[in-house]
Amino acid sequence: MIWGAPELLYLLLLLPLVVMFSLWRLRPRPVTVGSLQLWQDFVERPAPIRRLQRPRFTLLVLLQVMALSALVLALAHPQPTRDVPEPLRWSIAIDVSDSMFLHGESGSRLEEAKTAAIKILDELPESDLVRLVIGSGVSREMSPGDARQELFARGARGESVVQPLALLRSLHDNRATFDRFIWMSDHEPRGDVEDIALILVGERLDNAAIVSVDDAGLAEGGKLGVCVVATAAVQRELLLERISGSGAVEVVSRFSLTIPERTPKWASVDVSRDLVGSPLRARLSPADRNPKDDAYPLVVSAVRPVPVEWVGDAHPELVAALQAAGLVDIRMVQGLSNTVNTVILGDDVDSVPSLQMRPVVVAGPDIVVEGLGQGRPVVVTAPLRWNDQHPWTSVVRDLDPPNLREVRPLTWNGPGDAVPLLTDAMGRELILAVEFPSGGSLVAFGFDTRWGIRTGTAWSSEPSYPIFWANWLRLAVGVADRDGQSLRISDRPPADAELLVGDSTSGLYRLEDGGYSAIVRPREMQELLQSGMRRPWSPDDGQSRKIVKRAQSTRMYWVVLAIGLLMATWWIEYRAEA
Amino acid sequence: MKFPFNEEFLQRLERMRQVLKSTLSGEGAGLHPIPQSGEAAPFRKHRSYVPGDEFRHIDWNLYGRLDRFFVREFSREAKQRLYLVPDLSPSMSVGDPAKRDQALRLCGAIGYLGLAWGFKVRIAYTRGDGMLLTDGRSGERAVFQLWEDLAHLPNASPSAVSHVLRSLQGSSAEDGQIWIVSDGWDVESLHKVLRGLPGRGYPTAFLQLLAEEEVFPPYDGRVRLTDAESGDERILFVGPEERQHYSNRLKQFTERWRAFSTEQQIAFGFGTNREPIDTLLYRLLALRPADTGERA
Repeated sequence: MIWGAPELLYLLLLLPLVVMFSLWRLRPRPVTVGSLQLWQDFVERPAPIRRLQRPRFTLLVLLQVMALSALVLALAHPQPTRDVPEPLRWSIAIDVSDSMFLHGESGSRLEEAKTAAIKILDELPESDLVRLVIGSGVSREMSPGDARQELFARGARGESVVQPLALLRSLHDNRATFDRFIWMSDHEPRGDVEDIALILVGERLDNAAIVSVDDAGLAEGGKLGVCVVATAAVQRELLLERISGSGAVEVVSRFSLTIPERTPKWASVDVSRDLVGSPLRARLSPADRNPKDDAYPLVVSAVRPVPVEWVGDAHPELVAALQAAGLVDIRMVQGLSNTVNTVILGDDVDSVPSLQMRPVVVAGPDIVVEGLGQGRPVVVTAPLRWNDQHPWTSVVRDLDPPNLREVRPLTWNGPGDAVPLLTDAMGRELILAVEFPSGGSLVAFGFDTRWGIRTGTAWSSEPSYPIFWANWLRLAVGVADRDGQSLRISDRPPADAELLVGDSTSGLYRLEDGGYSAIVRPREMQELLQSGMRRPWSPDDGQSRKIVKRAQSTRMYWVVLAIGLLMATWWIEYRAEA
Repeated sequence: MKFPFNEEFLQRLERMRQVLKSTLSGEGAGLHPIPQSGEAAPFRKHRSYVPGDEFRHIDWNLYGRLDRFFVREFSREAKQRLYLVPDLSPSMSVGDPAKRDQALRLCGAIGYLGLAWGFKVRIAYTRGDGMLLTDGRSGERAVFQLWEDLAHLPNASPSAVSHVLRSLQGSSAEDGQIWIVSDGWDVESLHKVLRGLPGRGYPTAFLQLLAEEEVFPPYDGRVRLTDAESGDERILFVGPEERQHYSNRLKQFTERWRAFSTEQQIAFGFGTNREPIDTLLYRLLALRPADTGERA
């Protein structure tokens, strides 16, 4: 038995008061009579009533004590534990992807995650088992008393570049092997990670998942949840909003971890959601100058859709100053996901590992960005000035931004519907812009050389097709275009097809006729996410409903017992009065 | 004490007076419970019959012996005096409202009727060791003075009623009706002093007034009973059987009073502290000697 509100068990301390009150009621009641003469010799009478009254009194006190006990137990919200084995098996997954190795003055994000994990482990009982999952699935079981630091360090050394998606998918596949799950990641803005993490939470929801956030930028999960070492508060808040907004998540505890301010080299300006739809105001002062290279690094994170106006307009003096000083020669505009767009201004992007992996659009000082986000494709109209000193620029060297104007919205009716490929005027650029019947849109474009194909970036405003699937679509479009083949999008793997990239849940297959088939989302996930636009972890889903119902019925038993006992008490007293 | 004798109650008393006048009219004053047949009334002398005399006052024995009509005359003075004796001992403080308050209200109402019917009304009470009498009040207008007298009566010690009655007999007070309102717990002493009182020129009515709480004890379980007069305590367990036993004893107690009153030609009535005054009055004024009352 576990308790939803164990602090209310202190009410049991009131039980002695009930007994004392009953004893107090036993005292002789003072009565003044006109004369005692009619009450003479009553004391010496045999008093059979007394022998009956005493057991009745004892029974009354007993019933009252039991009723109060049952009431307190009901208030404490008892919950059955037959589905929660003891000791608990914890699975702590630490994302060791590139971005986690970003170093600040206080160490890397990974170090911060390790600190947080150790803090959490210190609070676990010795009997619990902890499975530490590092990146690619290297895991081992240990107890909290083990040398955790060493294990963390070993795990961290074991895999340095692992996609969080692979990690989470591994956890998802092995979700039956743990009772509690904590995921520690910097949560780079990738919808796929969000999706899988939330599905994990939803599927493993045991009465309540706990998500909390402290002031230092760390969000944690307690019983079962998600621990995010976020790079920006707005990202963290978005994730928490998605989780807690489901209504199935109850914040019942809070870790108090203090993480030093990270990435001091990068002045960070987080734009709250209150500014959505209003011009983004990024501030930069001389104090933000990086003393190391005397540059003005700036990371601006904002939620979509936020018109970016500050380049050239809102802060012309800033741009002018930077240009005059020769400190800035590259600007990047990055449309990364359906939730966050990041505008980066600076020349030190090499120290951001995630940027090396992510497709970016690079523009020169005179870049003008129109309508970034807002459910429409980004249109870049400025001439580019490339900085060959940066190796990642080769990724986009062939890009011909003006031709991105060729974006043409299409209507796509879901899996199975053929998607015509779009190319730019030079026959190389690939753009997919889809408008869904629901009004949402999905846009994928850009280029990458990761798998020898060209790919780019994408975003989506269609809830049932978040960015994760958009990215796969983008990849599939790129492959098909490279080979001049057709592409068919489906939600199940084709038979007798060769898997080129990914797996059966999100992969790219080559068909026998030479064409391609992209698997964007397995049917079961599709159904979960599309069932009335409810999240799979909604309280309305079967499992949660069953759990909640069981907890409520257990509580109801105690309430009924308390009421029954109270009624018995009243009935006995009523009979006595009668 | 708060007298409830407001204007409305005064009107009710006046209506009662009219009703009682027509139904209870008797010799001289009309306080009906007092014996009015002449047997217990003070006899003064015979006189010769004159036309207009009531035939029922003719002494037929003398007529048989002397062959002349003689009419018996009674002391009208005695019948026109009314002594109110409320019990103000500590035991009368029991009950809600207290029996003492009900006794004073009852005396106030009887006094009102007595004044209205031509009685000279006085209140007998004790202060310290002595018995005192208030000034005689007569005439309807004196009712407010009478009530004022009642309102300022001091509390008395136990057995005060016995002391008052004993002193009244030994004093030079003129004969008259005596109305006693008491719980009667001081039974031995009262019986002693009441014995033969009517025959000595004091037609007497005894109104036993008990509290509802004394008639039907409302308490249950262990109680610490304290005698209001002696201060004695007794811890008892009171349950249904005890209450039944007490009820039987109370019945015997009241029966004893009734038997005594019958024997002594004393009008006896019974009431409680929560009965309306006019209900009590109707019942008490219709009493015959040793009437047991309805509630006993």
